[in-house]
Amino acid sequence: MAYRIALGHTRDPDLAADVTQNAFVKAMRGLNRFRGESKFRTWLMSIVLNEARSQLRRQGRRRESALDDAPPIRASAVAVDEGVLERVEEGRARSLVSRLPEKQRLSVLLRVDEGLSFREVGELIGSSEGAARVNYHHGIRKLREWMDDG
Amino acid sequence: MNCGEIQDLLPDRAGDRLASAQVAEVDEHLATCENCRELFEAVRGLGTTRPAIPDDLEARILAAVRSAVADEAPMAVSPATAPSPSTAPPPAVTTPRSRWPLSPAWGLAAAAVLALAVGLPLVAPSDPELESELGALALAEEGVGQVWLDDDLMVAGAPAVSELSDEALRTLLEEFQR
Repeated sequence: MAYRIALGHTRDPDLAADVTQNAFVKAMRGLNRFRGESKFRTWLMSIVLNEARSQLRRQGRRRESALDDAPPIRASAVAVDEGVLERVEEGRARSLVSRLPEKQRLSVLLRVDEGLSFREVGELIGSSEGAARVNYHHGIRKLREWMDDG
Repeated sequence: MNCGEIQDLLPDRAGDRLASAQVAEVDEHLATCENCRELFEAVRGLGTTRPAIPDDLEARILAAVRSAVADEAPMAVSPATAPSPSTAPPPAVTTPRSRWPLSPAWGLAAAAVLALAVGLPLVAPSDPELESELGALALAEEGVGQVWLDDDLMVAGAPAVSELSDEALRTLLEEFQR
């Protein structure tokens, strides 16, 4: 969970691993401050996201990762049967989601991967429940458009 | 339900998190609405390609914990467990076969956080490395008396801490942090 969230935010597997291990230590140190006002899991996610933001700031990294410039995988060049084509399409969705703006990307990933409610997503991305829902809807529509364009 | 409401639920449909009545309603809608069906394919594509967790992530986390414990241990070890000035390392955690000394504050909490972090069931008291790590954490917590936890109590009767509900986990954390 923590690694997926870190990866969703940083879009860098190595950095995501760093974020996960640092967030774990911070979570352990902060356990006494967990008051039960949010779910334990959501609390832990917020630590991961804060650590990811902090690491990105520290590194001065631009949010646009190399993935943004990567050409989309052309299914027709790879797929030879429907099963393979389907898997390529699924892989493309995962690749393309990294191109979404941060709040849309996190709203989609936290809903899809972690099954969070829009209220929980909003808490984590610093938005209202309604804004989280809007970000999610914009995100999945863009994703679909890009898949069709590919 | 209208299209917006259906689209709200697509991640839950893809992740099998809906009750059967809702599944039927969503599926009925998807059968007749091409737009929602296409969005569902995109969402399902994401759901079936969750990124793999690096093989060495758990080891990296444990290394980070070890490092953090090493940084804190000299100040944090309680008088009862502190080594004398002439003995550099803290005493090894001795563990009878099926009993495990852990502080109430750190033992289960550490395992719970680690399990959630890597998303894998990992609490195995018979794992000497993990046992050692968590034992070290117990030593690092100042002023907290040790308690003896049975192996099965460590995992609270569940196959893995990560499988506990948030409510159960919180209850356990509160219980052990008192």
